Amino acid sequence: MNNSALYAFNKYCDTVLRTAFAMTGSYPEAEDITQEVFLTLHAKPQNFESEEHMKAWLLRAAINRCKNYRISAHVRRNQPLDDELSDKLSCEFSPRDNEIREMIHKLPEKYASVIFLYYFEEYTVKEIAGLLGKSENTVSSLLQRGRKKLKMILIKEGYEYGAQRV
Amino acid sequence: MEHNEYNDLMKRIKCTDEFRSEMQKKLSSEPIAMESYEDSVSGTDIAPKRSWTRYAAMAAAFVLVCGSVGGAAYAFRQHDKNQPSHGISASTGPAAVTELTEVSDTTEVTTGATSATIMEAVPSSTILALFPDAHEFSKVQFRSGPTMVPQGKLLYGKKIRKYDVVDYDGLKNKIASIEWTECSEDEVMEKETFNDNELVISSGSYNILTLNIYADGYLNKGGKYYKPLNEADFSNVSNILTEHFVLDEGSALADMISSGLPKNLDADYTFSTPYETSSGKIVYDGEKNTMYMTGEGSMNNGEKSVEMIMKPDGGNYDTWKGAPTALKVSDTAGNHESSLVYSYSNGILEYQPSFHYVYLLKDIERDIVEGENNREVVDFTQSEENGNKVYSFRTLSMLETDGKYTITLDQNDHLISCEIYSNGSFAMSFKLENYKFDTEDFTMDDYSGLYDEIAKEAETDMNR
Repeated sequence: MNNSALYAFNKYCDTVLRTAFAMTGSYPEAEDITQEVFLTLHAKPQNFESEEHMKAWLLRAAINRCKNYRISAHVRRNQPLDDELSDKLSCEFSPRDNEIREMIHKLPEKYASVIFLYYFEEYTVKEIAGLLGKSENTVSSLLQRGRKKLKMILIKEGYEYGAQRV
Repeated sequence: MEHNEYNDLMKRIKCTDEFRSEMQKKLSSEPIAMESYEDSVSGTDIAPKRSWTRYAAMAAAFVLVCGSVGGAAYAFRQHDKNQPSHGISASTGPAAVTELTEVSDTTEVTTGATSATIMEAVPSSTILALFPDAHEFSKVQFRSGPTMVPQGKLLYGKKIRKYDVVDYDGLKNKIASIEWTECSEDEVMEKETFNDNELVISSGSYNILTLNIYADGYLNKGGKYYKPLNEADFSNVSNILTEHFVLDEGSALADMISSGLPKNLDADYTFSTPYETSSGKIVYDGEKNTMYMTGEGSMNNGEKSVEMIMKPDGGNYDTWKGAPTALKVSDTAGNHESSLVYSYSNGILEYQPSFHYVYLLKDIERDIVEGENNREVVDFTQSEENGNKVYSFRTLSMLETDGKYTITLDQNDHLISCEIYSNGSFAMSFKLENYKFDTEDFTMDDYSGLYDEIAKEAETDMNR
């Protein structure tokens, strides 16, 4: 098992960046958080038991830092996503992307984290509970309330429990 | 906002080439102490903004190991001048030219049909320095099996065991007394891993914090790999590990549970959680890798009955693939409610008992020895009850969840019951009754038709 920060970065940099973006709605902030997570791992190597363990640690570290960003009065917000990224990313972002980003930004972090982990990373409720140190009931409740808050149609019939059809 | 809109946006969020490149440089340099980047859970401190200039790149000095197919290479390392000892390994090759090339600190000589590499021993102090201080760790972990698992899947087939160390100083000194030389990561990976379908399987290593000691005798820490200079010492490393590593109680129990996986099983069961209670029948055929279960009880907010068939020969429960399983749910009057085809390793928990006895064993094994967040087993006790072995212990993780387990094994280490409390609250119990393990003349009805039938219903349900 390669526990180096460089290995972790090469494998999970996009995952950590997305996690941070899913919670902050800001690409520059997500990049800052990603940097901090991996530099911390570089300075304080961890003894990961597995790839799963490494990924869970990185997600947890990113989520913790996002909480810090959310209480900071100095963080940048409200900058259109396409403006933020126009010099960096090759893909284009539509006005709709910015609307979605705004919804992400307005969602409290406790909802944003579980929704991202559940719907994008496809962790189970049990796994999210372990990762965030919450009970499974709490995670389920956060998912339900988060869904209502967003008023979004996140799931189709048959995917309610996160199962992947064979 | 649609689910796919959210996912589409997320998929497009990727690190820029510039950011990736800068980070790779930083992470290839020596780390710098960063008080301001300490992990924080409290959420009270404000994280610093990115400042690339704070992290002056420190070029890491890597000494390349020479070697080429069909050629010969003599490598003279210059990083340690105080070690005179050398070893030689040889391989054959068709090279017919002789040339001397000096590049940086590496000198290559290519000769005729036989190539040789002179390997310089590293000082024993270098080997000793690989070991962490005794107070930095509590257990040595052994890991083998798949090295990584596809995203979103549960990992089975991985073996983790924890060991206590007897006489750590003695272990370090014995290992350091062996003559070691650097070797390439490729050599170690070639010897220590193999491919099984889509998975890379590790034959196993002992991990003392960030130091990996492969069971076959290699050492690795960070980007450095070492091997004994002399072939005979590979087995000596293994002997030293056996002498100083003692399996802890939790891992010994995990070994028993693992070895207690039955060849076949016919039993009644009861299962309950705070939300569900069910009972039914299990028939399991390990040779055909299939299982049939029925259950009735309070499930998923209602009285239900379920019928489940794990596809015969369909999948491998030792890997992430799991076994395709068809589940049919009916109400108490027998009316069809829903059908589903799923793979347990995807983590579905929709209906109980939509678990498998086999996976129950593997989950408990995972809880004991793997567990997320460095779970530790404490308060381990063993007693005997009606000829069975009863084990009780608690698990503590760094997330401060406290699990309390009571597990009963029969004399052949087959699990016949378990009860789990989480943070003081009842979480789950499972118990077999009227059980018959490993029956010699065991036969199981052919349920493949039932699997196909439920799968067809599931398809219809999906398209409703």
